Amino acid sequence: MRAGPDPRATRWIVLRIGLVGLAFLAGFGGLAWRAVQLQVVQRDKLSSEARDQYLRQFVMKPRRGAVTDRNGVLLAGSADAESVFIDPEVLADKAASMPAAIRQLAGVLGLDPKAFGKKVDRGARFVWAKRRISPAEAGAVRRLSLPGVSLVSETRRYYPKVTLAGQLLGVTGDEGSGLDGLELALDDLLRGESSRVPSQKDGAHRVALLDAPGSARGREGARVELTIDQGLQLATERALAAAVRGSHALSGVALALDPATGEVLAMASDPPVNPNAVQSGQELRNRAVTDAFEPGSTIKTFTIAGALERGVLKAGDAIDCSAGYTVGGHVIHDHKALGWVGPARVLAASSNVGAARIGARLGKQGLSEVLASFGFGERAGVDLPGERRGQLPFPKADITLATQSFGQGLTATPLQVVAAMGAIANGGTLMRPVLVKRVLDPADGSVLDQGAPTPVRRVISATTAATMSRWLTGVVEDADGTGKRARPDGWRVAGKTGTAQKSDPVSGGYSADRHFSSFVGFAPAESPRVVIGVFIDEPKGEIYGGEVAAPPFREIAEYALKMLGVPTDGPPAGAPPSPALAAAGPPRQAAPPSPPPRTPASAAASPDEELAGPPPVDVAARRVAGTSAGVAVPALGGLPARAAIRTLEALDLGADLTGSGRVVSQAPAPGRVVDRGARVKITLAPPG
Amino acid sequence: MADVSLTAATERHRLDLFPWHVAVAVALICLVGVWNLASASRSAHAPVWVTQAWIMGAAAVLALLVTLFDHRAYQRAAWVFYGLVLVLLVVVFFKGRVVMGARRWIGFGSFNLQPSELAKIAVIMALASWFHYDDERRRSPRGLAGTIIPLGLTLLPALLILRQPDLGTALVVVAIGVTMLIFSRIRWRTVALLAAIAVIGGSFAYSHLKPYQKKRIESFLNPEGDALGAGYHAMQSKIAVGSGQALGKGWGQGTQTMLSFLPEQHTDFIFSVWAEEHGFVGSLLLLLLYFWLIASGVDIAGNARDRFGHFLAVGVTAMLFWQMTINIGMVTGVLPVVGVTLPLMSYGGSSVLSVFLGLGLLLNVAMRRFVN
Repeated sequence: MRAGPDPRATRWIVLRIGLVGLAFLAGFGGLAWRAVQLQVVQRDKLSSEARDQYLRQFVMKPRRGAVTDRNGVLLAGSADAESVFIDPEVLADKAASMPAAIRQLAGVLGLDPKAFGKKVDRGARFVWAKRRISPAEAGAVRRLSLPGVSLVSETRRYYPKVTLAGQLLGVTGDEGSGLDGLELALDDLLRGESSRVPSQKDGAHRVALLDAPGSARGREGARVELTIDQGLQLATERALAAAVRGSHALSGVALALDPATGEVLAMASDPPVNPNAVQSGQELRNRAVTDAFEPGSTIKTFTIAGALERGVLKAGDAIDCSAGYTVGGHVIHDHKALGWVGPARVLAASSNVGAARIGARLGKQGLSEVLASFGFGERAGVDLPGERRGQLPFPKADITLATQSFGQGLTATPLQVVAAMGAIANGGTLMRPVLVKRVLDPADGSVLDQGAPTPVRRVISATTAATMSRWLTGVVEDADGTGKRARPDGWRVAGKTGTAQKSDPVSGGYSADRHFSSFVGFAPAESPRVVIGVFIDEPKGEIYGGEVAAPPFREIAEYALKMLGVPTDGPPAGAPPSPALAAAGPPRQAAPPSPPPRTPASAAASPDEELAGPPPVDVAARRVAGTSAGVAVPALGGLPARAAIRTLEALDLGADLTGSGRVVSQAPAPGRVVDRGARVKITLAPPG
Repeated sequence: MADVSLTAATERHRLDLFPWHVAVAVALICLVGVWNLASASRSAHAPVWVTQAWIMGAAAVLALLVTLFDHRAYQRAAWVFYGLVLVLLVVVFFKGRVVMGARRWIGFGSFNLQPSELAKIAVIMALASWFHYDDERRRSPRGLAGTIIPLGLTLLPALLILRQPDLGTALVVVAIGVTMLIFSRIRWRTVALLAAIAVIGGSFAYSHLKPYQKKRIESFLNPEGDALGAGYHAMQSKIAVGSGQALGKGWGQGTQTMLSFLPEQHTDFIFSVWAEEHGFVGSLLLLLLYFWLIASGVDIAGNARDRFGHFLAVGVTAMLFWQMTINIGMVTGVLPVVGVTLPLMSYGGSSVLSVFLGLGLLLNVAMRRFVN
């Protein structure tokens, strides 16, 4: 029997029950709708957010591809090396004593137990104990047979030829990827395909492998055969190193290219680098492509070739090199007035006046186009990291037109200069330099890719190129040629010297005693097989390209020609090797005793080209000063600051400046003899 | 009651009246809860599901004991229980165990009791007792003055709980009290007036919240703004629920669960584990089970024999409803993160105990819905 509450009370209950029921229903509806929103509408977005949080790929690097020279000699290889990793959770769980196990492992691997313990305690489920350990260490780890400690095979990069082509090859990082040089440039080819071991990350950022890193290492990297010849590379590096040491230079670059294909046969930078053990702070850059210099007189070759090609210069023209050439308020001088001479003599004696006059015939637009067509101002395209394009500013001022004609006021990388010279050696067609000869499958040796000779453009006609070759031979063979020391025994070579003044960031003009000296040429002169450039940065003592860069050129050329099996021409008549060469070099094979040079005085003094770049500075004074132990302090009174600094620099003296304007006093006093490298205090005051 | 034969007859009668459908719903939710806990406690935690199963068994026995006595016997006992809980709340305030900055537990040997969980039952019983007495004698529905005693009965323990601090449980206590108050004889005007006072008082109270509580409310309004800070819980649980998609990842396959992205995953955020591993279908099934239970509760309340039973049923149903709604709302990111357990799903002895005590009262009312 139901209790009989009054009807009002029943109505009251029914009303409220209905109301609360509705409210509850609304609550359920809301929650169900929310579930629809999250689990149906937004499911993809939220699922991917979840995946992002927990899924991590643990990447196992495959064996990195080998790099060899053109004959298959290994330059960079990968050796198997084992790495130890730990799952600390398993170790803590199953080992008898965690600290003891850590101590044992640290002892075997030569690690600091405290630091190692900390690393293990960090909470990750995957900790590298030590990577790329020796087989002995790996054996010791195996003998310990600790739970949670595993070995995995990795590879270690090594360079069997030690410093050979160090900067060119570059280095790899700890994770095995290329960081510099060819290792970086060819990383896509060399690194192969990594295998991925799925792993997870949890809310506390701990990583756990879902699967043991097995033997599957993915696809091995390709084997890359370079165009480099390791024998020539070695000869190049040795000749360069001897030249850099001998002239106490900062650094040097030497290059050898095959002019017909653009293949780089040798690319050397000094000082050398050992990629097996790179010290921190060591300069790894491959100066042949990463450094752009004002090239100097080697550019005259291209100015004259362009003028000849464009018809503004005829082989029979006589150029007035009898006096200074005034342009835009500046006077360009030659070291020695040549009189009216033909273009061949302009090249051989390296006349700035002659080059400037020929440049003027081309005009600003013309010279700019000629130099650009030889590849200046654009990357040589060898695809090495940090390759520079150099600067080829349009010569707005007449003086710039004049200086660019003889190689100042523009910058170029050594590779650009050698490639441009290669265009002349190659009958007028500029080739793109290449470093990779072939890419091979590491498994079966089948060719995956092959470097093909790539012409960039025809720059000059074959006739012009032949004429230039003949004239460039004169640089080496003429009695007053600047490049006589470049001449090897038994072959005729062609080439051009260069001695550029380096710009001086302190004075804003050109430095009086810092030079960039070079010799760029090819051999044999008639049918060139190799184009070689040697570049010496800041030689001391002898500074001329013909003195410091030509001898290593000769050594490299001799090696290259012998290597290539080029038959000797026999000693050319009328142009015997200079006595300097005969005296400097070791005894040559069956060379006939050289007759005395016709003009011994001039040969001994060997006047190289006039130093380019305004303003002309008395270099002779510096050289005289350089021979003595001390230097007399010059009188600087009244000189503007720049001139004072330049004067001091020419004498290897430093300057400490106070004030601005002109020099009013100096210490030590003029005439005092001080050590080279001493600093002179200068006080400046505004004139008047 | 003194008549032995009558007692025997009514006992048999009561067994006939036992609401089996409610028991089945509870048993199903318990099974699901323990099964789900077994998955949630795989990773870092001890296998808490075993403990939970034992507690549920013990609490079920306690609930059946509660059904043995006529609920009218609890009319007076309500005040004793209410007083006892108040004492416990004061004791916990001075001698409680501090866990994660909150003083909520009293240790009894190895068992830690949360008096705030018992406070919900105490408030239900005390209010039911009060409304039973007060509504009977009232001639007209209550105005504002009539709400003072029931509100006081609610707010006294709620404030003590808030000071622990345990905002979630305090809110649930207030929600239960307010639901029961609306169920009492009250003028609608009074309800409106109370709502206005609550809004004004609420904005005043906000300025007195703890910084972390404010932060939670702020991060609720914009969880993505601080995904690694206060909004972390909300973001992670939303990701877990949503990544379950329609059918879920399967039991024990929840990546967010296994990899401990979810904090408090076996207590307050247990629903996200369920939703991640069983998807939309699983979520809907669980909601239907709760709906089944709560609808039964509303039905029992409507058919109660007397006012006391009616209010008891309403209170217990309100408790289940609010805890479920606030908890799932918080896990799915529609409500701010406040610590409220999901009845019979969340791990926790005191929570299970209070839910089963409430269920015992509910069954008691159902079994005595007809005058004997």
